[in-house]
Amino acid sequence: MKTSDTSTAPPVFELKGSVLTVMVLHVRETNPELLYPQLEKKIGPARSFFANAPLVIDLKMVAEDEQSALDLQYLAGFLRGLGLVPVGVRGHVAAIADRALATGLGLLAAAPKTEKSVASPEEAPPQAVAEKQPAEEHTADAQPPEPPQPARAATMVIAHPVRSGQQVVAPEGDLVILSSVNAGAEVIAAGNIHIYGALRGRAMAGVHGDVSARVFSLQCNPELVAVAGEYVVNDLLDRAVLNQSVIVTHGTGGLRFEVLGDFRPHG
Amino acid sequence: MSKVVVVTSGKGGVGKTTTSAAFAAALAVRGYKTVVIDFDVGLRNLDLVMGCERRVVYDLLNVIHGEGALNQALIKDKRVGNLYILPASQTRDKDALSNEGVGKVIEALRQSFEYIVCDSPAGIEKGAMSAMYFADEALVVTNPEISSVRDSDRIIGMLASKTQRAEQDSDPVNVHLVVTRYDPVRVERGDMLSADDVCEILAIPFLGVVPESKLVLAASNSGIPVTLAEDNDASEAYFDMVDRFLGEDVPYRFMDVQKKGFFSRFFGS
Repeated sequence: MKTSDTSTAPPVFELKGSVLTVMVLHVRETNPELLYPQLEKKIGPARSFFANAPLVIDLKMVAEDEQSALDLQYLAGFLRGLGLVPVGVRGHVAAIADRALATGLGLLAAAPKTEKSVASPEEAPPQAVAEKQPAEEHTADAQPPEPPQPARAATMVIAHPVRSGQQVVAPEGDLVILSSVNAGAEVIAAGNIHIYGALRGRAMAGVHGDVSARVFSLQCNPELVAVAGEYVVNDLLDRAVLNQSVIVTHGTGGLRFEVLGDFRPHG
Repeated sequence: MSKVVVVTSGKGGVGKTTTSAAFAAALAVRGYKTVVIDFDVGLRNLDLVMGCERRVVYDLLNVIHGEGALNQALIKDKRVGNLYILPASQTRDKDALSNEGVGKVIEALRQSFEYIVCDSPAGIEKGAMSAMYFADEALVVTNPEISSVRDSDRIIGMLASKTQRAEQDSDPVNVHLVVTRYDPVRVERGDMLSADDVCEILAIPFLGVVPESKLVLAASNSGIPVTLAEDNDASEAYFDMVDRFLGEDVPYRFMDVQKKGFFSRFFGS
C-alpha cells in the first residue's frame, strides 16, 4: 500500500493509501498434485466470475519448509492462466521474499485476525482455496449430497417441485423446498424440512432421531409426516390443520401441529 | 433447426395418440414439415387415427434394424402435403427399442423435418423412456382427474432426469401441459378438477384445454386427425395450442360454461 505524499512541486498525481477489498487465496497445502487440480476445478468453471480479479496469496497456513519448496512462479502463472491477477503474497517466510518479488508479487503484512472468508462464508473447505458452494442441489432420484463440511451440515435447497416418484434426502442437515412436494413424492432430512409450497407427499424430518427437528409447510396435506420416528398419516390428521400453514414438532405422546394461518397460492 | 416433441402422460387412455395426431397435423397445416412417430411398439394405434393403416409397409423397428430404409417407412399424409407418419411395429415388443437405434432414426429425421412428434406409449417403461429420451419439448397430456394428474407428475419428474438433455446437463426439456377431455359443466359441479387445480399441482406452463367432444371419437374412428376434421371445438382448441406452442399469444377458450343463447334456449342444442 502506498502511504506517503512526497511531492512539493505542483502535483501531477496524488499518492494515497486506500482500503480495498481484495480476494485472498489461503493456501493450506502446497502439494502440486492436490493444489493445481483443485484450483482448476473450483475456479475454472467460474472463470468469468473471477476474471481479472486481483488476488493475494496467503501462505500463513503453510509450514516453512513447504513454503521454501513452493514454486511461486508457477503458482502465479497458473492463477493468471485462470484469469486472476496475483498481486502479492503475505504470511510468507522471509526466505521466499526475494522469489516473490522476482515473480512480480508485492509483499504484504500478515493478515489481521478478524478477516472474513470471501467466497465461502460458512464452510471451511478441506484442502484449499476460496470456494463457492453450489446454492442448489439437484437430486432428482435420491443421490446423497456431497459429504458434509466439518463446521456445520449444509442446508440442501431444492428450487423445483418434488414430483411423484421422486425422493430428496438431506442426510445431514436441513432441507428447504422452494416449491411443492407432490403426492407420491418423499422428502427426508436429518434436520428440519421447510416447504414453501404445498406438502402433498411424505415428509420425514429428524430421521437420525433429532427430536428438535420440525416440518414447516405453507399448505399441509401430507400423505405422511414424521419427526424423529413419530408419524401421522393423512387419515389420522386433525381436519383443522388440513391445507393450513403448519409447523409440525415432536411433542410428548406424538406429533404436535401448530397452525400458522391459511395460505392461498393463487390469491 | 428441428425440434423433437414428445407427447406423453404416464397414464393410458388420456388422449396421447389423439393429441399427437391432431398436433402434428396442425403443425403441418401451419406450414411446418412434420413427422409423427408411433412409439407404441406392439400396440400401434397412430396409423389408425391418421387413417394410413392400409399403407404401412415398413415400420420404426424395421428402420432401426436396417431392414428397410427410412424413406420407405415414412408414409406421406394424403390430406396435408408436409405431414408424414412413421408407424410402430405391431409384432414386436418395446424391449426391441434401443436408444442408439432410436437416436439414429431421430438424427436422420432431423435433417429433413422441422418438427418430429413422438407419440409415447403409456407407462414409465422402456417404450415411454425411449420416446422421451431425445425430446426437446414435451406435451404432457392430462385428464382433469387425480390419478391422471399424479401420473403426469411422475412423468414430468422423469422428463427432468431421464432424458438426453438431463444426462448431458444441457437446457432442460420444455414441458407444456395439455388438459384433455375437459368439461366446464362438470368442473362447475365439482366432479372434475379445474384447469387451475391441475396447473397448481403440476406447476408447468399451460398450453390449454381440449373440450370433451363426441366428434373426437368419431374423427379417430374414421382415421382423421381432429384438426383436419370439419369445424369443431376440439380442433379449434388444438390449433390454439399449436399457436401458443409456436409462441403466439392466444386467449384461453373452452374453459368456462357456455351461456346458452336466446335461440338455443328455445330450440335446444
